Amino acid sequence: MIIAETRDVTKRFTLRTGLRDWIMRRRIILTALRSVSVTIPDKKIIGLVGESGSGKTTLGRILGGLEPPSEGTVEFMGSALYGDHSSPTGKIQFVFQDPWAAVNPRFTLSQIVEEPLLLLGYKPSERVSLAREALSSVGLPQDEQFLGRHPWELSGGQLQRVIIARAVVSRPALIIADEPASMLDVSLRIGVLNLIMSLRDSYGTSFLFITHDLAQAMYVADYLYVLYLGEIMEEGPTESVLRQPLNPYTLSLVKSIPTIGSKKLEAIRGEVPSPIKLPSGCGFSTRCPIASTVCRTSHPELTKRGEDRKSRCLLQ
Amino acid sequence: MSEGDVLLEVRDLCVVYESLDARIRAVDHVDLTLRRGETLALVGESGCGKSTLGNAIIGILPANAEVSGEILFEGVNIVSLPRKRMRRIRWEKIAMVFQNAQNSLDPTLRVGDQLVEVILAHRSIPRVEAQRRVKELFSLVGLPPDYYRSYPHELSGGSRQRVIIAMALLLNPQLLIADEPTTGLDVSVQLQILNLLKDIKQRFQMSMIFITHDIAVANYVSDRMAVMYAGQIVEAAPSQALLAKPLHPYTIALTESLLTLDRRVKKQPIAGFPPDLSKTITGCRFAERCRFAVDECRREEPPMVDVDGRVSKCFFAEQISNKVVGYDYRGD
Repeated sequence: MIIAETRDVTKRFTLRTGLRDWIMRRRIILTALRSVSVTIPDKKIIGLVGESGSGKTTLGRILGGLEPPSEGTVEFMGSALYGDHSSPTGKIQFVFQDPWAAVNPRFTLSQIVEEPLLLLGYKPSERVSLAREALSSVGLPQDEQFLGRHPWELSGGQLQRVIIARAVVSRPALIIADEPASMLDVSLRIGVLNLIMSLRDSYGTSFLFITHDLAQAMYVADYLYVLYLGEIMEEGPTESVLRQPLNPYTLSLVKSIPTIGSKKLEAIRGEVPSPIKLPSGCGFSTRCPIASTVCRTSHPELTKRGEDRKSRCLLQ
Repeated sequence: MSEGDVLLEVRDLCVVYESLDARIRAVDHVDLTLRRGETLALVGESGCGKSTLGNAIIGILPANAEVSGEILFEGVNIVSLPRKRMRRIRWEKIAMVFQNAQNSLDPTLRVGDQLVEVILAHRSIPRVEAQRRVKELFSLVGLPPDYYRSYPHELSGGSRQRVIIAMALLLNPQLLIADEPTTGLDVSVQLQILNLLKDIKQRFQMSMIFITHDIAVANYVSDRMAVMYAGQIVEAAPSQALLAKPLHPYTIALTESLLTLDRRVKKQPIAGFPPDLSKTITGCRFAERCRFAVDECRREEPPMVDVDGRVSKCFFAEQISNKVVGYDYRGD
């Protein structure tokens, strides 16, 4: 079953500009996403990796119902997400990078976890029992004393678990997790990633796992989309994409991560171009080690490669 | 300049942060030696004291920090140095690259001019000459010459970090302290900055202290690594050897929790949390989370044990080395 799907989603932002631009009637358009189609099936963790400016967070917001696309359609559980039907309240939840910024510091832990249920109109007794169940599913205590604590009494890893408990308490079909473990120390990171996998297995919740860290994606994601300058450069089952990258961009990324034992690595030259001034031709052509003249003039399509993979490159 | 020449020696250093209701022992009896031309990586998780140690060496601790012990830089104890003399050493002999490049630059000044100001504050040379030096360093760190007239906000994160590195090099320091210099940068830019740091360290024949939480990054840039836990150095060894065969249970746990791209193995987090540094801790600081811990570990603080020219602060270091106490680290 398909939980959520985008078809050819494009997103443009008009940037607020200075006085001179206003007088000259000049507009600056930032293209965050270009014709992106992703599918999120049930009971799967879908990884979305990319560098800054790749549009990964924007795609998460669009799939989460927070930001309508400029073009294209978004479907959630079979109906249009940005139509005039009722919004799927409680069926999509979020977990963000910074747990401290995601909670009201004056709330107790029970208030934090119960809040989604309050908004959905659950009775107090139901709220209490569901909140306890959610806390137990993320491996936290459920006693009165713990429930009465405030966020500042917890460590970052514990608080991120509370936030995940808040996300699962309304039994959502989809959780958008934007760098949920990136701020945590390595020893705690594994715990949060294991938790995400166990929630997929026990509740059948699907996750959109957004990260810049390929190693985290490798660890949790079932299927992977690699984003660059608002476009999918490559997609496929995570292990095959990261172990045998087809696209030069994915390959360069994989090769720029120091691992134990690596001596001298060749860095990708240059930096990610601005999404305000997209390069003509292939987005990666300005930095690609194998780019030829054709790459700078023609724009490659995302094409099927082999059984279950797709890559966007003219030279393949 | 010979290899074995010691540039910096830290002896029994303690840094205690005092607040109204607590005394936090952020760095607790640390010994450290840095040779000329060497890169030492300080590795550890948040709150382990690695940044405090770096800040103590360059002398920029906040006013509520109480320092004891010695930091010998070229044989001179810089802990007790008067402020004025420390100011001469800072930036001229010891320079620092901070983790947040954005906050190290004045947003209202062109980056080139900021760097010129740094030179003029320390050297009485004509402005033109200072400008020439800045332009020279810009090209050295890979910045186009026209960036000289840019404001910090006009630059990308990677370019800003290059400006900061150029700033650190202005006065030819002998020691560069880099505190998480690539945090917040993109993967591709991170590698560019790491390669740049390795390259300039060679070119300027500097020593470097590289502070990071990422053991793979530490291994990439450093000759030697010191692993910190709860304010103490728990293990120090040449980087390759340390990761190939960690001798401290905490280092073992760290290497095990490293996520890699080549294999997909289910991993377990390190159980528990680091101890509260405002309380008195008896015994080994890692004992509560350690899978090898015995009663003795909780009663007595382990000494630094020498094993094959390496040090590990664990009663079982030798047994771990001889594989009497086993661990399931499957590194390459």
